Amino acid sequence: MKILRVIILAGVAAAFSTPLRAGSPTTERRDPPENQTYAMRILVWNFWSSHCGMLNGPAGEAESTDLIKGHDVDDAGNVYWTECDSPVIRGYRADTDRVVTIAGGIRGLADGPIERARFGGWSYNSTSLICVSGDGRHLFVRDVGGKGQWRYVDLEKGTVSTLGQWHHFRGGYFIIVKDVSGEIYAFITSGQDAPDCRGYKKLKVAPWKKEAWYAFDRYALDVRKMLLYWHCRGPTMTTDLRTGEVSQITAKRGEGRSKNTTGTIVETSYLCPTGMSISPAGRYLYVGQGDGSSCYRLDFEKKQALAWGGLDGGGFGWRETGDKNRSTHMTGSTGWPAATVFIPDGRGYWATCWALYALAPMKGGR
Amino acid sequence: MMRILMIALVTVFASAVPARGEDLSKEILLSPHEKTEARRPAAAHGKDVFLIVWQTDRNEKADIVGLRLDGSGKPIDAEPFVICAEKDAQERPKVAFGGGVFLVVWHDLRGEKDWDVYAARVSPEGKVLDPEGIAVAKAERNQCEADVAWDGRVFQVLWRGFQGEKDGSPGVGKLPAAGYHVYGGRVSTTGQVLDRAGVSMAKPTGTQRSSRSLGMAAAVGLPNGELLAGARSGGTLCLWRVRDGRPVSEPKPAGKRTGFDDVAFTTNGKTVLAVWTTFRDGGGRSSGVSKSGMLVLGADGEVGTAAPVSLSTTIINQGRTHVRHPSPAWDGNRYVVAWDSPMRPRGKDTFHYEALFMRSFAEDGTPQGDDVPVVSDPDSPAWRPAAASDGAGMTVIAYERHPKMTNLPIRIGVRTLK
Repeated sequence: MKILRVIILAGVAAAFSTPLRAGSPTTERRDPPENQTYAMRILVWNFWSSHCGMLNGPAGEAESTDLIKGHDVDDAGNVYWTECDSPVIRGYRADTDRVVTIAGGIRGLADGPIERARFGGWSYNSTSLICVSGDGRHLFVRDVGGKGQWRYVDLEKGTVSTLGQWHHFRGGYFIIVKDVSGEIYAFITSGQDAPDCRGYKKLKVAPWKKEAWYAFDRYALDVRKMLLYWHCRGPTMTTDLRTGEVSQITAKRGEGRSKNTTGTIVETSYLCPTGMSISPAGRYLYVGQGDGSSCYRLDFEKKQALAWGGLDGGGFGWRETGDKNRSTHMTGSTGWPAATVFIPDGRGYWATCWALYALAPMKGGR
Repeated sequence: MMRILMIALVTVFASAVPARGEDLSKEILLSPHEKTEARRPAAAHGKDVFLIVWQTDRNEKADIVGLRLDGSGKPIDAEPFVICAEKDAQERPKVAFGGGVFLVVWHDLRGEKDWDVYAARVSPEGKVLDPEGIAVAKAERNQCEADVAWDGRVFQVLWRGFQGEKDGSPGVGKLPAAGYHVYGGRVSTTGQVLDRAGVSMAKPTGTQRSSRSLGMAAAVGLPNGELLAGARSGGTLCLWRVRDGRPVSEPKPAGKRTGFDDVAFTTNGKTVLAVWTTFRDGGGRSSGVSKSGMLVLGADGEVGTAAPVSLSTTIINQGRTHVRHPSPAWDGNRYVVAWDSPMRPRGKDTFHYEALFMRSFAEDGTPQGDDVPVVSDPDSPAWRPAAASDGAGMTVIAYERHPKMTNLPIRIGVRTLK
């Protein structure tokens, strides 16, 4: 199994033109240290430049067309994302420290080679779900055009294919989600089988006892516990995939503590939750907090929610925010942040409306 | 024989799109360069030759190639010729004609560290006079997204240059002060770079994030020997004049929220036409639809009392008019503007596709008819038009034509207008 893994990772490395830099993929899945401090570096700016703003090239000077709508990272630190008003999937290559166009280029629905495949694109008020396998071979994106088709980007073969509609599919929602292990899983909330695809494993689940209100905005999976975390711009929910039971784990908006403040998980309420991701070993759930705030880290071990922000001692990390300081120590107006995504080697990646950041662990921590 | 066969082959691909009210030719698909994808065409006319240049492929495989058309719009070259195929990426070409040569500019990653601006002269006979390229701007950090105009004596190249903190960790509660400014440099017809260090042309002035970085600049030569230059600042088109390679006026906004990007100019010597993209979907404070898209100025390039007006009449895409990537030309009698716009097919799925339109205007901006579809095919979309005219009634519109079958490469389509 280990040999197979090595072969796979070698294949991923060969897909890029130069060897991967320091921080190559690791198979050990650890959560980031609780009090880790980070240095933040901008990889991609959003200057709201619109159509000419899609500038590839060296990280730190590249531009997005508009808001980054969703992002995910493979274990080697290669970041993949979608943007408003641009029917392409773009990426950051850790080996060359460059931003590139991965797939797409023009609006439409057409499968085929990644250079010519067409995507419907992503708009401000629609959700983009994107996940890449830990080994960097398989990428899935929910295309907003049409009726929300799941598109599979085979990064190994360089092809794009259409899998099916994400809702009203085989009697339920068609969920494709990355597990803490880095594997991609797929299932239908009705309990029926997901379609065949070499990029994911099919998960057998019990039919859900309560349907999502209108849409899943974001979700994250811990397959060892058979738990799906999700939200639809409200509180964080979980579904036990063995029983189909749906539970609410944070407070509804207007209930619990003041919005945008941290404390216990059950009392946490969001102003406008956006992205969601889970830490490599499953202890932390990260929830993007929209409209001028931050990103929350739900710590299932301590049952505590903390917010991302600047630290008094320097650097960035997870901290309490209360009524008085909720708007300070943040990295500027964050607008529509995605969730931070951490990879097993400890690095993290975070997209806000201003930029895509890389988070590098600082020595010493807190 | 082979050459005749190749020319015959590229001319048989005719578009089924009917022209309404304009004498548009059938479509010609230009030969690809070694089966590569063809992207981002640019066009210019000089000495009875139209030179179409484009980018092959993308990322590190991107190169710059060109192909000539004769005065009637027929290919002179059976296959594209290489203008620059240095190591790493060469992208986003633009071209202008003056002093007997074409000057092609692009941004280049051959230095591996960041984008630099390069140029090459191409003779009307199709000879690349600077096969290794001329380094126009090679300073630290990105110099990118160049455009070029002829001022009557030399070529003026404009580009975006990155300024400010690049890699620094943002401060608590703020972002690093960084963004793109506009710079310029002149290149003579003999290939000499006259402003080696680059000249600061325009800086962002706004306090909002959206106006702290300028968009891509463009310029056009005025009859008095000056150039009119423009770029997006925030959601507004800003204009300034340039003489002898130096800005001679401060950037002035041409109205409020007049445009978002892709500004382009043309002139007939009596008036100047400016066009721009009218739509962005940023949501909230950054989104917007401008109902304008064009501005007609006097020959001196002064904004004065000129007000932006609507470029397109077509109400498309859920009642909103989207003009993107507009490209203007003066054909001797009228201004011709081509652009692309996302369309939604009726009775099919709800995926948008890109279609190409054009419209004509008198020199004072009076429309001469409605929008005319140039290419509108949901299965084989087209976008990023580049218009060029000979000033004697012939206009060429070149564009990316995406294939019906994605096992075929993206090619450059051409339709001519008399």
